Amino acid sequence: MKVVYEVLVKIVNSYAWVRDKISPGWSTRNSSRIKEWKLMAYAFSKSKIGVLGGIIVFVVTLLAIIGPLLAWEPYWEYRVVENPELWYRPPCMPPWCSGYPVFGTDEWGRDIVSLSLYGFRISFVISLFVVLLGAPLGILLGLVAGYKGGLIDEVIMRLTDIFIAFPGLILAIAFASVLPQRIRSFLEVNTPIRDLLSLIFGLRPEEYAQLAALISVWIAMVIVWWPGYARIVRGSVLSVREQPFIEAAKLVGLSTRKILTKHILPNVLSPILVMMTFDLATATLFAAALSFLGLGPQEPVPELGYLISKAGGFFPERTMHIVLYFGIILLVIALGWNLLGDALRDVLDPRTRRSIEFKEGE
Amino acid sequence: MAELLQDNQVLKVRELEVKFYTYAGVVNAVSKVSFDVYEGEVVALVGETGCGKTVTTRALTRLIEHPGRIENGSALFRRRNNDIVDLLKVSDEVIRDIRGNEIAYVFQDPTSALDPLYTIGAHIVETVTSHKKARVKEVLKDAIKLLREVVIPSPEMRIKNYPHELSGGMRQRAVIATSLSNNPKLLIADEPTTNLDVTIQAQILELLKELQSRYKMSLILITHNLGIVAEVSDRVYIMYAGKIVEEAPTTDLYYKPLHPYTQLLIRSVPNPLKRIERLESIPGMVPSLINPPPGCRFYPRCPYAVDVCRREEPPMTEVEPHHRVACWLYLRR
Amino acid sequence: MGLATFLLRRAVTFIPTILGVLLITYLIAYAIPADPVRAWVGEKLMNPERLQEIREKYKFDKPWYEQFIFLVTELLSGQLEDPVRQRNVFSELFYRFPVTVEVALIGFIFLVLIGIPLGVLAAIKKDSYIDFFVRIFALTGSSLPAFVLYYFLILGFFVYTHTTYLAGIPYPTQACRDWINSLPATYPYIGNLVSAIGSVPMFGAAMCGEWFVVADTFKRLYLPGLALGLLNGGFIARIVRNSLLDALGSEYVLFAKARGLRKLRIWRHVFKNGMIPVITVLGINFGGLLSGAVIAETVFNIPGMGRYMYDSITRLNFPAIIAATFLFAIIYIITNLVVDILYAMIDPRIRY
Repeated sequence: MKVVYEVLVKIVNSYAWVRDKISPGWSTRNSSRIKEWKLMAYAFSKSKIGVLGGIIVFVVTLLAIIGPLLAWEPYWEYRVVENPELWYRPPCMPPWCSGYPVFGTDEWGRDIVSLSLYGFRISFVISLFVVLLGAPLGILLGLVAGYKGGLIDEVIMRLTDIFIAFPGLILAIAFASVLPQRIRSFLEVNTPIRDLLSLIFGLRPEEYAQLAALISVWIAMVIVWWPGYARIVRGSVLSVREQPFIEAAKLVGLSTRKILTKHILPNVLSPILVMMTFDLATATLFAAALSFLGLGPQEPVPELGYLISKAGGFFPERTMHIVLYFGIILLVIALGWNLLGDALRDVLDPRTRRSIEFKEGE
Repeated sequence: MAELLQDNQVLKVRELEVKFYTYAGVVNAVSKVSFDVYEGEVVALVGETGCGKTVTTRALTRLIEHPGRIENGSALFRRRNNDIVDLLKVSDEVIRDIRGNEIAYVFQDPTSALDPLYTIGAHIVETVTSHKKARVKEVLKDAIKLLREVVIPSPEMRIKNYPHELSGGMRQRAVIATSLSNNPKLLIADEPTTNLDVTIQAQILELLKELQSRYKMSLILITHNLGIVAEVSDRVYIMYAGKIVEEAPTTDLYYKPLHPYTQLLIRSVPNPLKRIERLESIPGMVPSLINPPPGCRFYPRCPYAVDVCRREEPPMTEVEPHHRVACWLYLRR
Repeated sequence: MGLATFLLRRAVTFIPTILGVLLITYLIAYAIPADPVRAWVGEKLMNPERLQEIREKYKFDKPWYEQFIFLVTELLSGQLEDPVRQRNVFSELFYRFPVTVEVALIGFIFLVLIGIPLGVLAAIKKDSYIDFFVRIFALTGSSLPAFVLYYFLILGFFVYTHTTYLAGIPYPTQACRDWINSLPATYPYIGNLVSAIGSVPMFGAAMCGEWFVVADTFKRLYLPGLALGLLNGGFIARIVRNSLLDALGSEYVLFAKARGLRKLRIWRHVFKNGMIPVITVLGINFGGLLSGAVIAETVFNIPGMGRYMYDSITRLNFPAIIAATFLFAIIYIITNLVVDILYAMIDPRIRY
């Protein structure tokens, strides 16, 4: 745990160093904030759940980044065509069956471990994109609605209500089923975008039809995601807005934008950060669920949910290893974020943070 | 048995100790506190925030919760049937019976003391029915009378109101009515007016004083406001850092404050008739109660401190009739 | 301001939301790609005349606002036709909707049975092993992919031990169903309501006293219910625990103790206050139950709305998808309305 603390403190210190280079004297002006961050780092390093979550997230991120580069079998090659023995081959250890994948193969004869290396990238990137797009969108709208009030507030809130009226998965299904063709035509024309996206997801540009399905899943999920944030941020803004220090800021003559970013946003940030972390877990499973239903990329793209759904047909006689393996991967990814989020929530809440600190005799 | 309490004595607290086992250490919130309450009198418990006055009174009916613990002491109480019991040692069922029935509380914040989901009437009814068998209709009738006594207009309507439908002052009156519903012998009012407007403050105080005399209750009034103390109380106990440092009849205290802390307290209240250059305050801070130093707890801030004050705690001594103080200045050493 | 006025106000805001839902449903329809018709007709029946026929029918050759009006009027008048099954969309959904309600309800029962007691226990025994277990349970439950859990549950409870079955669902007897359908004729209004409730197979059977059907329903549907309980139970338990602890530490509880109220009475205060946030969360979670119905019905082979939606996806049957989406939204809105009503009944502060 000490290692974790030291690493985090190094990060805080380097951040301060960078800020100092940009505007000299930053660390002296913000010394109490820096101290608070170090206290947070300390409290976090004390939480077993948090550290475990952090490690899992770190490993998953690593795998997501280098996965496709490490993968020894290209996912688009259907091995089973040349070698029928590879169809749904169960896992086996080397001495008995050398030359065959240790963990088994899927219906196309592909090594499932190699497949999962691509899978990490896809699941990780999609969940990240959804939250990194949906949350800021929702936060922005929530800030504007809460602060401006009046007609803008009403309009944005009605919009939010309408979207929230749909159960999440249902709405996403509706959009994800309807968008692929349009996106596909878009990608056909815009090759640079297509190539970039393919690169990011670790796929080949040839499979842009599947990429289109993936992108439509992404967009559908963003549509489902933003209202939650808008509502929460608006609620926070409403309660912070009435406080005297905001009035003081207005009197001093701060512009709306400055007030929003420098005073309101920081107060709202902590629970948002926690929510985003939890949402990364939810988004991972959500995207897998959509793929499971057939709305995401299909052959040959190795999306984890899709692979599990294909394996469902022969479960458990032939595909136990597949369902188990990919299922556990999804579980671990989501668990990592959830553990992290849980610990983060304790650390960012000043009351629980204090009790953790005092336990060690601050 | 009769020697334990005097005939007109209601409460006798001796050597009360309450400790809080927190993450930061063991806080000695109340250290060897002793005081008495007699029939029909108003006793003020005065001190700044954190001096232990609330904890002391809560400890009386064992309302202290984890991580707090009542470590020591006795609290002899004369019940309605003239039995004398030690509140700190009786069974849970007995203390439950005494609470709200013979000893009642009024808390500082009336808004949070009332359950927002229950009407005023419901609060009173459950307070009464928890202690004696009675029909709800009867209790409600009495409740309306009670609300009238605490000067709440249109009590028949207010009975059915929820707390959020009442103003702050009315809520506090409702709380007082609830606490009085079983005609307690002892009412403990913990800063009952601090959260209210100044004008309402005066009304509530008057109300308390009147009810107290009408019901022949004893009243322990906790406050940090010396003005209130002068208005309402018969005797005063001054608390500092978990200990009682001075006790006296009210007029004696104001005419001749003995303890340096008391003197500084009284001096810090500005006289509106005099012209002053700066407000007086007491320099320094309340000491940490986690590992209190051996001597007098006021030593660091006392303008008259001498060496013995640092080394030994002064015992309480009677300097004048009924006027006692814990200070080395008044002891020959 | 009373309960009635509050409800009225609440119902009024209902309407713009419904309109908005229609708008979104339309947006989705507008995003319909130019030529799904090919997929609908299927390769075998493909011929230019047929294609043109369908195109005209769904107004694909007209500008977008005409398409919208067409869709909406069809939807609202209940005449939207499913191009693949060639039947009125709502007649399809009419039978499947009560089934999904059944599944969601049983799931909800399990959720409450697992989540609330655990939460109460965790609150009473704060910081104990039970508390820690609840925390882990919540974290694991929200990290498990639902469909994977379903597969393994099926493995354990169906494949290896035949404690349930995976085909169709139990219905009350024809005689019973006829009786229920005849109710609106004999008792107007009330009869309609009762008949609607009775269209849910479980309730219909209960009304006729056909308890073996009810028992059979549980036997058939307990597995998805259990799964839902396991996935979300921990989360609910945590909410219950935190909310109860908040109530326990409040001033009014202290005042209640100071008034000498008996333990049971004090717990009444704690529960009443503590359950309020829980109700909100359960309401939101119900939306999750509905969503989960899609996957659960697919995996457990239940002929409900979720399954219908899944089948429509695979066939690119957009009108069906849109109709089902719309219906799901309506159900969810109604559920939220019910939750708000419950809320207002319990918490007098909300009535403003």
